[in-house]
Amino acid sequence: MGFPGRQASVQSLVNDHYEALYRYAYRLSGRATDAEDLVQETFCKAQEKLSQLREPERAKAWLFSILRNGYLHRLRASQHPRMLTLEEIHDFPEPAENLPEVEPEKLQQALNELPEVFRTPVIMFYFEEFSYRDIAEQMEVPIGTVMSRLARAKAFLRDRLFPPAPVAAESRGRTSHGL
Amino acid sequence: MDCKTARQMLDFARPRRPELETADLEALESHLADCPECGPLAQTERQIDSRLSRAMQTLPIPEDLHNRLLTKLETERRSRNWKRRRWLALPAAAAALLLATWLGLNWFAKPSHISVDELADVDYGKLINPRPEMVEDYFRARGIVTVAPANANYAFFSECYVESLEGKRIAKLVFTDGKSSARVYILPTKDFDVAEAARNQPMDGSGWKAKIWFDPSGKYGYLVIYLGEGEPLKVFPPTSPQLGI
Repeated sequence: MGFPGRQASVQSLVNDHYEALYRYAYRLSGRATDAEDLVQETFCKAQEKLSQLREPERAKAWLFSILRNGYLHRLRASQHPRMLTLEEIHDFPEPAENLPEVEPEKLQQALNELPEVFRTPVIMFYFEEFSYRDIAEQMEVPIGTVMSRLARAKAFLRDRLFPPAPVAAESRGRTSHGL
Repeated sequence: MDCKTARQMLDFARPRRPELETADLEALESHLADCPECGPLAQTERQIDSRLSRAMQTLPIPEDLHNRLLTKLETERRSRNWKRRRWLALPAAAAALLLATWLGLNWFAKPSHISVDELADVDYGKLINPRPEMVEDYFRARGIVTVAPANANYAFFSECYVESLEGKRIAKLVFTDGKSSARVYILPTKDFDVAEAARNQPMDGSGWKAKIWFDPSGKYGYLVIYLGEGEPLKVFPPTSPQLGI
């Protein structure tokens, strides 16, 4: 038989969060198969360690944290050689005023080029469901570090995804930081 | 609010998840509405964020992923329960073994059943008007093929027994005249070196004497232990082939 109450809780976690987790996993890993594996691993681990979830309202952050740890574990095991160093990128031109929509595939290509420490906060930021504090806790870094990494990652994405305006706008100070 | 403060606060004024106090948020929005530099800047930032956010979240969910996840979880749960039961089974098996051992020991420690009939039948070899063939039948019925001494004086015959010597079952006859007695052990020569026994061992002691006789074929030796004082019981005639005294 097992534990019907606990089983129901895991099932409700799946019902409530599997889509968000899948999107997060996909954006992190860049591949559908890896994303599905990560989500499966995450829920299996959640089922195993459900008693550790003291605050049900923190379930989503908890699941995201499990998923990210699983992803980092895979990343270390696979020794991916990719990623550019953001130090190579400096100034970003201002985008055109009428901004086009971003193609999700191009977004993914750009995300794939980001080192994980930049990719994770920017994904969580654009999911719009996590505060800076949440992201900082997930990554176990100070909020200041999260803000800094976010600024650089956003600048990188802007550079990759939005065509520059024909005439460079006045520098805002926010866009010229070396990453 | 000045422009520097407004730009610092802009990051915290996320449209769907503002992380500013209401008063600060209102002050920022007021500044953005009035400032010709910060207003367009914030608008562009928010447009970019909006588009990136939309693209980030635009991702089809694989068909049937939900069901696959639930199936996987159920499989994992059963597997884990089975493993848990397997680990529990080990001490349970050990406990069962201990219990079985304890029960077994208790069972064997109980006083054994006594079959009176069996004892009477096996141990009490009383024969009426005995003859050699009757003695042989008695032992054959108990799984011992033997040849009873044909020339023994069965007038003195008392009873016969199955004995164990060196792990072998042998026939024993008891003769008596009421004063003295003689035990006759029928020893197959293929199993016992009967002659060697007579050569290398004393054939008398306190209250007993021994002689060895043979059947005519030489296949059996009859070790006779005479008990009692005085003349040995005349079980065998003096002319029989013998060893010993």
